[in-house]
Amino acid sequence: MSTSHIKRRQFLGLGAAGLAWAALSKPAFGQNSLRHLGHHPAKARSVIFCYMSGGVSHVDSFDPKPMLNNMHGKTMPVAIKKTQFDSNGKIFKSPWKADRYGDCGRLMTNLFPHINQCADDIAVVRSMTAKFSEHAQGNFFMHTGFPFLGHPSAGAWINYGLGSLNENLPGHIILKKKTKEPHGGVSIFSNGFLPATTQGSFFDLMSKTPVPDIKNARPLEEQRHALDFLKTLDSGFADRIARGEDVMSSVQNYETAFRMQTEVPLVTDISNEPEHIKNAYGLNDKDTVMANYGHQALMARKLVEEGVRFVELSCSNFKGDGQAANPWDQHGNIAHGHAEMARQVDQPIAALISDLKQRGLLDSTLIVFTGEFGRTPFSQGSNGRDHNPYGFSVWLAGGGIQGGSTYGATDELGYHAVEDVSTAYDLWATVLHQLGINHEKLTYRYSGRDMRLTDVHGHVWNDILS
Amino acid sequence: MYFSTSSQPLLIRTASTLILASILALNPTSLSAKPAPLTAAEQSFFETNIRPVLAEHCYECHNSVNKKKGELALDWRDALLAGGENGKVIIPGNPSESRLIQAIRHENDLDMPNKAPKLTGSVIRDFETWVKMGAPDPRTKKPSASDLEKSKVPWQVVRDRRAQWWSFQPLHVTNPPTPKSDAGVINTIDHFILAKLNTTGLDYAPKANRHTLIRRLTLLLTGLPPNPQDVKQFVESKDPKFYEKQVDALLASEEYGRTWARHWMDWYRYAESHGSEGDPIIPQASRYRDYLITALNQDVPYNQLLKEHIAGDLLPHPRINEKTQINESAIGPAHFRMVAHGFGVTDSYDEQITFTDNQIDVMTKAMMGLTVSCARCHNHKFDPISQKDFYKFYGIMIGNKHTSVLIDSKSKQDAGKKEMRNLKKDIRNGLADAWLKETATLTKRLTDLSALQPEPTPLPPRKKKMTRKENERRRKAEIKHRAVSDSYKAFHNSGHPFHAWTLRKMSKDDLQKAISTHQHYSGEIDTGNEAARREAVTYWDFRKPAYVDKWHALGNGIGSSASPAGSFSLHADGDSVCNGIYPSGLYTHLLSKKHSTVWASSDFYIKGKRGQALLAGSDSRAKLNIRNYPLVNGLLHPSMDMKTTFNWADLTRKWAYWQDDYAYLHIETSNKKNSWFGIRELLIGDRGMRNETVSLFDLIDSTSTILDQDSLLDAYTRTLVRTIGNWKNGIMTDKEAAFLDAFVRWGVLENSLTKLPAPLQIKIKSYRKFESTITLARRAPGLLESDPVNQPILARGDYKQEGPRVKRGFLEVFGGGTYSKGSGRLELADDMVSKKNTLKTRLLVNRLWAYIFGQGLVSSTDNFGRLGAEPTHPDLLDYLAIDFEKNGWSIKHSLKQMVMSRTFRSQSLDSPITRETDPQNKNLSYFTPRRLSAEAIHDSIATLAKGSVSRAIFKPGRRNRLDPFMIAFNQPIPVSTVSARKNTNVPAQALTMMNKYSVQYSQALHEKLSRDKSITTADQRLDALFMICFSRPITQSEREHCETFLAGPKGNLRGLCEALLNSKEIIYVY
Repeated sequence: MSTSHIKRRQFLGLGAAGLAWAALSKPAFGQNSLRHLGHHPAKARSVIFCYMSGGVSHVDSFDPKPMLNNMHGKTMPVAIKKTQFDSNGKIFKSPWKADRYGDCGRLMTNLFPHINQCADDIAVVRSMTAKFSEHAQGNFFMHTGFPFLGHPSAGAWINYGLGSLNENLPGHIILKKKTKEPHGGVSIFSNGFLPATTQGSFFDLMSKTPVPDIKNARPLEEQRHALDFLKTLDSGFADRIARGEDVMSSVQNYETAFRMQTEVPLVTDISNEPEHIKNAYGLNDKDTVMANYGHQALMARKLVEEGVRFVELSCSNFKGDGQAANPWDQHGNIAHGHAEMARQVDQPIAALISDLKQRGLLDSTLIVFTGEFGRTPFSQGSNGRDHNPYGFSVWLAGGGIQGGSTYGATDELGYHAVEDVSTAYDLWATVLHQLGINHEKLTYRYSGRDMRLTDVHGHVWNDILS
Repeated sequence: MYFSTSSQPLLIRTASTLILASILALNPTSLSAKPAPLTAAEQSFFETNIRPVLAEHCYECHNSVNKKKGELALDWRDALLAGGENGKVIIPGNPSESRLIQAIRHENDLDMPNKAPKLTGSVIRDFETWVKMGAPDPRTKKPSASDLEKSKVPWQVVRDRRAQWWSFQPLHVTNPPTPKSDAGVINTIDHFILAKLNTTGLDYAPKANRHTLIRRLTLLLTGLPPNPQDVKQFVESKDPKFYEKQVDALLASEEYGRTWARHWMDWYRYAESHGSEGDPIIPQASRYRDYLITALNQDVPYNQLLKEHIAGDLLPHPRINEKTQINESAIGPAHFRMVAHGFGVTDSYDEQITFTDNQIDVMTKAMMGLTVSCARCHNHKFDPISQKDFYKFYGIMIGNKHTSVLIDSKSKQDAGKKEMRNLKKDIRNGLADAWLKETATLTKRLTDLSALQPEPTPLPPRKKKMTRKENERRRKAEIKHRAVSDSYKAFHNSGHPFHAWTLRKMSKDDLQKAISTHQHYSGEIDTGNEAARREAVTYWDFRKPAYVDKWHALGNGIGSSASPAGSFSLHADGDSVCNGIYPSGLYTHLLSKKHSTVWASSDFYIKGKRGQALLAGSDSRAKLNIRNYPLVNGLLHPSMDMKTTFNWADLTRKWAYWQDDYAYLHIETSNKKNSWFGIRELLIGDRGMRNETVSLFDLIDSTSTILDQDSLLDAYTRTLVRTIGNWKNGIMTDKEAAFLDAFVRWGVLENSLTKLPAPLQIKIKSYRKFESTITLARRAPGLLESDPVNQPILARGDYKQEGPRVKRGFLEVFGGGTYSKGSGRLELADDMVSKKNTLKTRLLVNRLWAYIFGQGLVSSTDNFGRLGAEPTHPDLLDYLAIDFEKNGWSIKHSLKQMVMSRTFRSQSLDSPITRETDPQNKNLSYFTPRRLSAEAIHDSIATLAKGSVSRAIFKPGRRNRLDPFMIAFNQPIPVSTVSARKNTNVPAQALTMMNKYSVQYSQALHEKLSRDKSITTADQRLDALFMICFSRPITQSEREHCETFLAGPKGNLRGLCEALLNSKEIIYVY
């Protein structure tokens, strides 16, 4: 398919008056999307987005800097750019020990011991940058390519581009369990101007009904009876007016909703998972914060198996020093806070990688791990770190990514990205590329412009592709 | 008048087909690009038809100087013939095989120019001819950078050609055509619609029945379904004017405004918070919503509302709401404040660009249907809007501070002022006389002052464990102790008026020594301060008329210039009378602390080591705003400290952080309680200011006579008598004012109401009575007009590349013109509604049309530019716009024309022919059925189930917590202008309707039916249920279905109600 296909679809009214004119017969989640856009053969079909809200310190994890040890307590030798809290201290060495891991021998600290065991599965990009020092803008930027609400999230773009593989499940799911959405609110996961079918749906794993209003208010057979009655009535109405097919697609929509009521609980039920799998994900761990994240990670695998395109995992603040919306945000006592946060996600994510691998799904599932920015190599106060958007690390695994590779670099102190400087646009260009989409061609005419997830930017990280 | 082939370059009209024929005839074999010199005819054809198009549409991306997309350059012959990375683009002599031709024809998945409208047919034909001719090309030399630059088509040429687009032409009067058929034409609208319909061989669909019509009218005009009584009356009416009467009644209903204001809110991205971290609220944002509802219900002329939206706070004759005494006009600009803001902004320029861009984007889309903000980085790609145009508007925007404005009418703001001013004169005289008498007993009065006693002994250490009561007692004791010891310390500072009294026990020599120490100290402070003022980067003395342009204020508290020394304020209640006697300065509370003021300094650059202001106040908020960034809440945006006496306060601790940026000081009184502030000076520079001393030794005529306690007392008495006298006569100095203030504040001079002379008490009570009628001013989000700014143009939108400043003014395409009054808002408001602007009313009537008929005559209701659509009925559109302007810009008038028309009254049923020939019903042969808006769905279901509803328009609009139901049904996220909502179909809608809404409301509907005593049979129950839900009688087959349902398992009435609430008919207007 080509751009002309997109244009034709837009002409049909996706941009303005909506599907009403298009009279599509299938009211599934994927109906408003460009099914199988396929600019080129895809490596991956789904994305799992491990979002570390608040900002992981790259110098304490995937980009260790021996120079920080040497210069600990000294004044930064370069000018310090404006930080959010303007309480800039001296160079601050990492509380964690760096070592080389995997056959690739990449230098990483021992902050994430389990993920370190997957060193050869992950590709680390050390030259990430963002334009914003603030959480909300950073979150919007990382998710949508723009710093404010109103633009579609990457998960929405991907669903718009590829459509859903499962019409009974949303294609864009945000998992949560005792977590709060990052600063900026739910609009971070918005469909923006894209069709509403692509918007992020929350699955709250704490709740017996992970999707709002998914629990049938009446017994199913009673509902079935009512829906059948209603269908007769609605068909009569559809016959009496022009464009009755729109009414009927709304009727179909009720049928989808009816099926979801039974199918969503089936998908979210993990009681049939073997104990060793649950243990691997940490579900039975007495650390409930880790167990909750493990539940999300396991659910991500199940959803990907069901064909969901984009699943995002959320971190909890249960023991960290940040706040509920930005739990990685250790402005003080980073040694304690980051240790707690890393413990929460480390084992579950490593388990997810090996579980997917074992099932042969890692090749088609792209895992992305990032926060909205990194943290400063100098201290904030005595023992915290402020936000650093000028250089930080993200890693990717699976989905045709060359495990063991490392791309880009920050300066000797880890302050600024200096080699192969990258942005969220490059990240999403790469993700889209692996999904078979040319990021420059995934456009939507809105407000007089052909909008893109990558705006007018974006270069695929070819060096980390297998 | 409309140029449907508007992209035709103007330059190409000179070539004639005759010449063309002769070229082809003379060169029958010239089928290769010839190096040979071109004939005159070839040369002319290329220069007139080919070169200008290549230069305008192709060179930018395909040149041999700086950009060669696809390795293809088209700026000279050899490069063009060489082709790009995919081979040759021109096969001379063979247009169809030439990829360049395919690309401009949009064939084979090629479409050029990229991301732009297709070139017009005649241009494409010219290129085909040219290739057929052998692609004769005189451009034999590779162009240099300067050649390329010169080859650019001048902006004026591009702009003027683009200005040929239909929407930039003046409104055009056409006589309404006469339709061939005469299917009951009712008004002028029908002439236009039916005439066009007839040209396609069609006619109107039959008229809808009365049940359908009243439901349609009521839903569209009031957003609610009709109640069964109204339906009955309408259906049974014998009055020949029943239809019109119903329309009038609906337009007059309060619910009309509550529906149509929501459309307006979509245009201006209404929100009650700024989004981002913490989602800070926009205080009083809902005033704007209420303003819209009121204005629409009153049918305020649209041109008035447009002007109010830009400059309502500046109009010389604002609209005053007689009932509420609210200055409605002043609320208009509130939408400018509904921008999103970043929270912990570290790059203030970037933030300013982002929100100013949004202000311009929304204003121009909402009022003109133009995407002016697309011209931020370069001239507009498709429309006649230059980059300068964007920065003209940018300057207009940033010449205003973001603040809250006071919306009480002038007369309400000024109530009681005159009387209070007069009484205050008497009170001043009365107080002065009473105090002069008291100077005779000054010894006792000073001695009684407890704080002058020895230093208070420290409190005993806290007990480890205390009960809650003990804790509370301890807390109070600590507060009291702190107050006493603070004043003890203050009095022992040699700058304090009472300091000299603490020295009374000293020997003569020690006294004289102390006096000279003080004079030295005081002198040092004065010299230091003088030097600081002299060397300041910026120094503004707000006491002086010379600096009156350095501050801007709104409100009834502050005057237009500084108040003299000795100005004083009175307490509104309680036993204390005088609140303070002040040195010269700007004050907000000289008549009442209930008066309100919003104040801003001019912008200043953040330079040097510090910024300070000499401030006093209570419960007001002072804050440094960097580049108009107005957030106030949270740790990152601290307010400045204020005390009730003047103090040099630091503007921010982040002075170094914001170095070289610019900012202003913003101070406002509280909108929740009595408050005030005063300001005297502002200083930016390296040196710090120190508070000047107010000692007896600074004021006494001669210090040499002070030798002991008696002579000290004598000095105090003499000074005080002189000071009070000067106060009474209105000639006191700043220092005297501060000196006298201390005596009153500490009660050394009587300040207790009950102890003052009786006649004075009467005056004070009378004053307080007037004051008691004052209420805190009501506010709305708004703008405070301040220093005019001409914004530098930003090359490629990059603020690190500021270019020349652009004078504020109107769009070039409408004749430009520059503005000189203040920010320019008032002039912009005038231009916006002037004849120059050809878009404003077309845009509005088209939107009204779209809400009534389901789609606009111009389908792109937010874009009237080149990427938008052309009108399906251009003459009708202009007729409607002219008719609207002629009839007082009355929205209700235009809506009435539309719903009165025959066009509106058709059934919403299409025929096989219309389905085939006009599937989108652009010719309006029938009424287009459609799903209701989120609000109408919510309100309809609640109304028909319960009979009344708190309407969805009143739900809070917090950006980070948008209502899931509203969003599921396509209420837009508040980002930019939306006048045509999307209409999507997602399972979330079905889930929420099926498992929540219908369950929630079926009970009420069931009870409503059960309560109705007039219903006695099962048949009547079904009749009533269908009438309530669908405003129409039940059909026989529906009755049978319902009966079957009720007879089935679990088939009960409540279940039927619930099912019907899920029916699609309820959420459709048809």
